[in-house]
Amino acid sequence: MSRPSLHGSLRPFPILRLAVADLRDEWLLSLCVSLAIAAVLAPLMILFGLKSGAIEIMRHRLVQDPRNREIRPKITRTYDVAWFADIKRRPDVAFVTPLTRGISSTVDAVNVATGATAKLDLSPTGRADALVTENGATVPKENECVLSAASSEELNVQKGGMIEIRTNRRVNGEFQSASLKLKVAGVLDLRAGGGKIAYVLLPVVEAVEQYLDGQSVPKYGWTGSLPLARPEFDGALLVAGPEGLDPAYERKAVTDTGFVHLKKLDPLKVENVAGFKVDAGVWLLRPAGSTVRQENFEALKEKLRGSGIQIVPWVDSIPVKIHAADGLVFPAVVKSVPVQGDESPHFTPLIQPSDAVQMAIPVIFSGKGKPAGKGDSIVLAGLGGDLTIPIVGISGYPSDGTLLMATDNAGILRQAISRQVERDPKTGEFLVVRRGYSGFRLFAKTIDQVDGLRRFLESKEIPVFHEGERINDVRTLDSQLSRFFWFIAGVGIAGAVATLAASLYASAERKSYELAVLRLLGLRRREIVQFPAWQGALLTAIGFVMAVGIYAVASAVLGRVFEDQLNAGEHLTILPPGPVTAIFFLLIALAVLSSLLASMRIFATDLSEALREGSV
Amino acid sequence: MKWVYQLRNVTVERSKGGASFSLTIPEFQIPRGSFTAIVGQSGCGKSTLLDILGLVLSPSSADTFNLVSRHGESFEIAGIRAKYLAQIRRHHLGYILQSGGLMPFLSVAENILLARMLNPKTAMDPEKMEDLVFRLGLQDHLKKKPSQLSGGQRQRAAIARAVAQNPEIILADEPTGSVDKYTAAKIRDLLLKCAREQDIAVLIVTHDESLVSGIADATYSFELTQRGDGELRSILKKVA
Repeated sequence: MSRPSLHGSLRPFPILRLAVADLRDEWLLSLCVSLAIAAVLAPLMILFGLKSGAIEIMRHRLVQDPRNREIRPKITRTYDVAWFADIKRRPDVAFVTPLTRGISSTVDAVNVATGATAKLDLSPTGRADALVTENGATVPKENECVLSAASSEELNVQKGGMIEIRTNRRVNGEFQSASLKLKVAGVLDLRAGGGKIAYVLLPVVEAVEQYLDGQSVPKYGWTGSLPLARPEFDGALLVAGPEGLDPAYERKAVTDTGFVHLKKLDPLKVENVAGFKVDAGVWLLRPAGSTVRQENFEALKEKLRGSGIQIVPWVDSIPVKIHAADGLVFPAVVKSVPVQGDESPHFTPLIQPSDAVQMAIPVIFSGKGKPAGKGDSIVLAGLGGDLTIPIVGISGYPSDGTLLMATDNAGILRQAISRQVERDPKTGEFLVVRRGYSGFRLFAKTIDQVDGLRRFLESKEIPVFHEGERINDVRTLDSQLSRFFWFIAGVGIAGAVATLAASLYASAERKSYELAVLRLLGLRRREIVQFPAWQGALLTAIGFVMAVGIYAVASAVLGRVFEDQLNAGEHLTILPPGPVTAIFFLLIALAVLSSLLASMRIFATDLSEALREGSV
Repeated sequence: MKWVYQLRNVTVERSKGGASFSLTIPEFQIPRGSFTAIVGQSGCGKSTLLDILGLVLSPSSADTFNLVSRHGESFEIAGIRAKYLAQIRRHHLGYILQSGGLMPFLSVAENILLARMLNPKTAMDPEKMEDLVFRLGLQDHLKKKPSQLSGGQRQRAAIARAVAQNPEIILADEPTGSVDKYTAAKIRDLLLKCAREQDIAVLIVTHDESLVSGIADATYSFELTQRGDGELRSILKKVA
């Protein structure tokens, strides 16, 4: 027969062992106390779990769905390249893409394999576009596209398939069409939106827009015109012969010509500001707007027919920089000058055609300066970007930094000030780069930054669509529910602690004789107080574990019941470990505190009396 | 002579609801390893004396009140604070109460092991403890809870715990109060035998003189005087 060993010593934690032995001896009572605690805690945990779960689901859905970070302008206006560059630099912007005119982005699409067709909207995308990357696709390359769920369905094409997009235009009554084959790099989840959209890189959308505008897109083999830069002028010089300018013509010059201001100049000063000498009177005509074009000169010529007035297009001095091949940079000023066939009977160009140097565009330098040559270039810093014109050959730099440039070419430079102009290095043609975009699509980095971005954009007078309200709603709901929960939890926990304190007190009362014997045997006060303290902590811990068990069952049942409403990875109830651990330790602390009541009961009775009372 | 207790002119005064009681102990000594009996009817001061000896009650005045350990340590009880009295009880005193004073939630074995929990250094070693358990006939009851034992078995378990603790003295308060005469004698003999072997003095407080007469080394009783209304004086007297 095996006997319990007498080798032990009930150590370590002797009082804990005594407390446990007592709880086990009265297991039914202990169970009741723990159940009472669990009965309070379990509903609290379920409530807390539901609160956390519901808020988390809402937040998760908000956070997960990039639409909630999306910001779109309510109004159409022109956003230039510089605006996009600025906004892209903001730390709260994850992605921004320009949008082209809505009307020019609709294309016909064909599934190359099956012939299925659909009308799609082309929408630009790019690196870090959450709409694409967070809806199950990767950002397409230039010969690729990502389709929305609806467009994939209508074209019956999946990832890896090929589609052809086709766009049509009418030029001089003749229908023309252009097409481009795109590989389907991915299909977006349904939640990305219900529209029939193909997401492509911005250059593809721009190409379609250019084609519709009648222009050619050489890289796709689409023919058409070129967006050639057209000279713009700041005004016109009217150079009169010895007979002067008839006042009737003065009026005519500012009637329906685009010019409104007429001012007589000192002929001697003209020589300084312009590159030529005049014999007689000279007037400067200024337009109502900022610049005038060829058609204004046509109109003016018509008005002044028979007056004997020579009309010379006028460009104000344009500051530029000369970038020398050796890396040096010189400031310079371009002045327009009529050359070659522009000679008038009334003035003499300062520069003879023979002085023209070999440049991409003919420029004549006034005076002689530092010898230079091939490899140097003229750089004009325009609003839309730099225009660089290489110098093919040159006789020398101007000592005073003045470049004399043929009027028409100076007019192109004038245009490059306000719009971006590029020079095609192959053909030498100057092409106007697009002015800007009519809209944008933007993603904030996090849902919490949406509101800040909204405020920023609205301060720039760009009203926007956004989901900030929903984000704030969830935040408010969370804090309201939390308050609500902590209130209920406070009441509940107070009840649980009261239950525990009462039961510990009753237990101390019941066991006053045994506790007195323990005191008689020599257990110290600090040892005796541990007895109810351990019991309180243990009963609470058991109650807590039971509550977690009840919570787990309830949570599983709830999860099953609401299965249909939950997405993958979502849980209706969540017990965040941090607060739960904190509550656990708070409860244990409260339990130990409440055990002090029992201790007070123990020590309230005189030891000798307690021994007599119990022994009766 | 080596003493466990030395008391001279110790008095206790108690009053309760108009009635007052005083106990005077003119001269009282317990030699090491001896068997002392205190006899008397209830209300004569037995419990009060036991409370004083058990360091549970402080005397009102005392010329001498010393407890001397085996190692010659002498404690002047009157001047010691309650906190340290618990310590002295723990190391030097053993108790057997009327109903045993066992913990109902511990098994017999665990109750005996309380002795070692209290005094890990001075308590009996496991082999001796096992021997003691055998001699007390408890070997088959070690797993049981006190409530499953008979009155005699409970007292034997209490003896085992008190002896295993290896104190200077065992204070037994009516240890045979709840058993029949035959069992009472048996329990007394077991207690004395086990205590003697460990050089533990035994003090039995009982109302049953026959339990101790002719056996005790010394027997004390009380001389009672009723003075006026509700005033009772008791003086401890050696009777044998």
